Amino acid sequence: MEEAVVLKNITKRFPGIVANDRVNLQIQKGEIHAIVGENGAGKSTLMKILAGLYQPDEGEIYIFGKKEKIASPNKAIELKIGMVHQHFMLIDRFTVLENIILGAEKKKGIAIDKKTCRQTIKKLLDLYNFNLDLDAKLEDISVGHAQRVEIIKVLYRGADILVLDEPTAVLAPQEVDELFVNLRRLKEEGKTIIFISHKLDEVLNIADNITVLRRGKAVGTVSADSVTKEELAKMMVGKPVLMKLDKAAAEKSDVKLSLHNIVMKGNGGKNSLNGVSLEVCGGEIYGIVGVEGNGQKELAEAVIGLRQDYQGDIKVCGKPIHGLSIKQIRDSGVAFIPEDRHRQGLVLPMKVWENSILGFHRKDKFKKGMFINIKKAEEFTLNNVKEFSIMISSIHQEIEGLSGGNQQKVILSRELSQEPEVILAAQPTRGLDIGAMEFVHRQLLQKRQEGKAILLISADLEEVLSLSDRIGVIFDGEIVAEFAPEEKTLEDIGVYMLGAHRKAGESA
Amino acid sequence: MKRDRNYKILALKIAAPVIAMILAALISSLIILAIDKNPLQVFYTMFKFSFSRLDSIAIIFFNATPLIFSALAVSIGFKMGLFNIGIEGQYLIGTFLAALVGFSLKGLPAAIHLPLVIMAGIAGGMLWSFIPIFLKVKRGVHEVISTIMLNYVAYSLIHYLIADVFKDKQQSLVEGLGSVLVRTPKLAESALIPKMHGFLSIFGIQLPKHVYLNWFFPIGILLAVGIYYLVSYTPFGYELRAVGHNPEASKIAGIKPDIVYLKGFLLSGAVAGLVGLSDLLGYFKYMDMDFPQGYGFDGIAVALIAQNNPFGIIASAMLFGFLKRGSEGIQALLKVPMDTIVILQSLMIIFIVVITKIINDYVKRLEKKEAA
Amino acid sequence: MKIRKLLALSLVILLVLGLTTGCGQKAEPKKDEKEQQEQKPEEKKIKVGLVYDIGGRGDLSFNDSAYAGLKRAEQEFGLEVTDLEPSSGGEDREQLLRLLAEDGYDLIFGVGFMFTDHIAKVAEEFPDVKFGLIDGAVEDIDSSSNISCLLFKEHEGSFLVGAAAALKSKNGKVGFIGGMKSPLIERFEYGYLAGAKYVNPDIETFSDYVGTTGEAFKDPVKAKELALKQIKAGVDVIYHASGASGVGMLEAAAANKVLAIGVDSDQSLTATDEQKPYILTSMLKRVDNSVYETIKDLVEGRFEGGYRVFGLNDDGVGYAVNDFNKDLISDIQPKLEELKEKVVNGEIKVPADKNEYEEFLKTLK
Repeated sequence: MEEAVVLKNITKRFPGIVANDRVNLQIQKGEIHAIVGENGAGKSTLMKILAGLYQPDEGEIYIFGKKEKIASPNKAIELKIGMVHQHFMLIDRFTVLENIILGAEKKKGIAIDKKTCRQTIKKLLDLYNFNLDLDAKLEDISVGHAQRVEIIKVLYRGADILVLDEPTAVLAPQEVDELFVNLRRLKEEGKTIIFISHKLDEVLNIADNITVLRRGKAVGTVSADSVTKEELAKMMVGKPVLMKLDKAAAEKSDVKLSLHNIVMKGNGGKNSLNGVSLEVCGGEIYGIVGVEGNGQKELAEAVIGLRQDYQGDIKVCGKPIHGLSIKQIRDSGVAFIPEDRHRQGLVLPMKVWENSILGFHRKDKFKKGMFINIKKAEEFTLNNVKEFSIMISSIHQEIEGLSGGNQQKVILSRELSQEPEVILAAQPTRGLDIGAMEFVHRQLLQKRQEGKAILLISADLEEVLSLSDRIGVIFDGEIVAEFAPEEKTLEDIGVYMLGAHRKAGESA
Repeated sequence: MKRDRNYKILALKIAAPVIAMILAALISSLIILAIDKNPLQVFYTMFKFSFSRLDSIAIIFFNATPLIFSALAVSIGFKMGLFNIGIEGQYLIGTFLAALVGFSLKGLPAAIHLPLVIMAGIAGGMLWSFIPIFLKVKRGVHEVISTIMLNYVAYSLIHYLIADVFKDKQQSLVEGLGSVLVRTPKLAESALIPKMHGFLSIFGIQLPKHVYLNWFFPIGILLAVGIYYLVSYTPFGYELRAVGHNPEASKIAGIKPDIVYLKGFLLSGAVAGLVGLSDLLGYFKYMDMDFPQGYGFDGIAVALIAQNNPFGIIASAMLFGFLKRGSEGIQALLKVPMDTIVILQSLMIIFIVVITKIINDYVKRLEKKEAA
Repeated sequence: MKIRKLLALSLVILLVLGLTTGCGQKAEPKKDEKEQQEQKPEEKKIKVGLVYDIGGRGDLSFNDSAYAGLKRAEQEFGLEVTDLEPSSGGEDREQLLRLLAEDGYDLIFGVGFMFTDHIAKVAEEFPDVKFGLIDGAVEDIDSSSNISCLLFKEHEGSFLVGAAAALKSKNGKVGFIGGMKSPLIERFEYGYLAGAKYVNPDIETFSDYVGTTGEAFKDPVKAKELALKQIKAGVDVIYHASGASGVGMLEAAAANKVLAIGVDSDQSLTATDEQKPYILTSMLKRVDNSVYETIKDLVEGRFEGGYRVFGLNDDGVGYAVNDFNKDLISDIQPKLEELKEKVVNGEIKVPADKNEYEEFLKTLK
């Protein structure tokens, strides 16, 4: 069998860090090869080398048997390597067709020959069985479709080797299934696919072979048939990982957070929240699942007080909070772990210690006359750093330079150290690697043990299932089903997520 | 290896303005050659004239004074992510109010009158900064638009007030001919800021009489120090920076960005209100239609070069002061025409801003790699 | 952060170093100069400097006129001359005057009343240097002073061109465009209006100002708009006192084939060929003469301080006759000369401001 990509002893150093340390990799033509590893293991660096964005310091690259130097992204395209980025590089205002041909237009004189382009793309769509409306504006199509556009885009440029960077991070379970159907079809047609992920279930499902990276080194390549999830996780982390959280029974106490019939107007006359009611007791984790954009964000924003334009009551420990400022709501005992760390949780250019007191910087314990008591704040931060084992070089480092997991730990330590009664956690493990994820989960469970009420909003079904005591499925601004995790299967939940009254598969 | 890199970063940071100035000088040389002068002679004269004469040095300090205030005001805006282009209007209004209090109150002791005048200046600047920030917070009007517009309003308003309402009627037209100045009455002696001559003479520095260096210069330095501490070490300064970098995260943390914007902009306006006072209270002693304009815009450039660092602002304001004084020298001594000098100065400023920016970005990238 | 501090510090140190070294050297060069002056006072060329107002050279008007006087004297007396221009804010007027004084200039002109206070200050510092102030008056000085204030009776010259405008207007409508609204420019205005009304009491007059700041003297676009507005209202002879802005008015007049009257210098000479046929005349304010006369006095050792007034009687103001307008103006010249005579001998007292103008109008009825 021919080898599509062979990497020999690839080494890439950045100041103070070896991102790839003598990595060897062999990818057969026509296989789906997964590359897994924790964040910071060197997956992205390796792929960027393959895409011509970085140059390796040492080592050799062979593409279809020939030694090559991939000096630029253009060179990568020339070598038929196509990159599908995690964050789509598409233009909302353009149609699907325009997005695909952008930058690789076929010309007729000076005009773009759309007709020829359309024919070429149509052929591709038929060949690979892709379902896409070429004339739809990008802003009108779903995330899953946008991803297809990205894939077709690289195919249109003649790629034979497709690199997909965390392609499932943004998809609902049904959409993931569709993607996998597409990928298998591509494989049948002889394309080689490199699939980067840290979701082990998916990797085991789709890949033929799996290469595990750990701290810049390739620790091994295994066949997907011959390995279990636990074994893979162990290879990734370097030590055995507890895949099933052992969830001790917790003492359920009074209702600490209650929402009663919350209605909030959304864009275009539709309600983004349409009469949401739920109660979370102390010692309980209430998980909310749903396809993104069904009101999760608004729900969180209403509870923390970011949005006040709703009807209905929200009570924290029995006291209504509608009309209170964010600060007052936080002071009444609500901690918030926002879904977007960078935009909502941290001030990236500021230092670690400064981020550790964000929101509490006016508390008396951090005051010294008219100044901030920097010594106290530093002590506090150092304490958190120790307790949450946050990996940093200095608390005076800008938080921008930290890994996602460590950034999340800073938020977690900040929010949890204030002894909240209610914890509102929105996508608390998004983008984190297994180690960090496990840490966050343990922290949440510990708070549950301590009798706090936790409202967990997550797109990660498995996470919700394993953590929650009760689960609510949100669809179109309504809780359409509420049950204990053991009552329903993953498939049942998926059906609820896509609208209980709709046919499954009609995802858009 | 790490240490080497640190030295490299340090060296680059120090070198940035120097490299910028050298490059700017090289380009400017072409223009000087084009008007048939010797660039070396021009630059030599510029430096010699500026640094070998006591009065020149003191005048550079005097020239820098308004720019220190102006750039500090700009930097406060930048810190919270807002672009206060309205320094211009704010200081004109501030200066006028200060002048008004200065000439209309009489017989007060200086210890009362001078602080009152300064407070009037601050109040004027705050008043004129309140309008745009109020519009922004309440109505979402972008501060760049509103401050630019308010600059024009301020120009016109000041001219109306000086020419038509408060014009000094005491001035006499000799023989009914010539023209009187269109200006306010002169300020009372008690409203004026003392020069630094007496203080400096303690150290044996005898400034010539025609130097107008006054106590606003040390006030500016102190203010820079104060703002440094305010921004870096107080809860308010903390909020200013947090909101400036990430208003959404700040809001979620319970900070009210609108309140921070309001307070910060008023502070910026208050500092802006002081911009014109060194000239008003230390030099002109009245406000006329021709009162120096453009400090607000120069302040933006000064703050940019200094990357909003208060101490850097002092240094870059000095640089501007030097450019101004130096060009007076080459005009008077080498007969370089004013138009050429204007081009020279602008080129210098553009180059310094652009090149320091490029180098600093590069340094930032290095530092990032360092952190990674 | 630390590095920036360091940077700031080093700059301050640099400046302080300069400060201390500056102390030591200060007295020396002055001594040299004095010695030079004492050694060979005979051979030394007389040095004359001139500082323009904002806008400076090339305004085809006031500043250029001063320059012309300087050049004429330079050629005639073999002087060393320099002309400087303040920066756009004008706040360095005083520094420029002082630098010239330090540099051993014997006579320094400040062109424009904005120099009033600055000349007063610098003249006090340099009692041996003579100063000429154009259009401005330093208070309480006499012939022993080292400041000579050069003043003009602009209203008298304007009176004559006002009369010329009225005599030439077919529609019975004449217009005036001023630069910056000030007592000085108002003298042009009321002199002009008075002249027009004197010849034709029923004439309709229009007055507009470009602005209220020094900028108003260099805004030809605005001046053109104002002129077009007046022309649209029927004005067919139009006069300006707006420095470089007036170029706009000349354009508007030529484009609409109405007559224009220039100011300060003879603007027929500097106008474009298209404009020349439409320039009736220019009100001459002989700044050049005043500069020349002052230099001449100095050269001949007759310099006197105080106030020096230039009017119709000594041709300090007047109206222009040249190759381009002689056909246009010849028919009314006798009448203008007659009026000039009346002004010179005091028969007509030309108003110089609004109040006097209103009084003047009463005498006409």
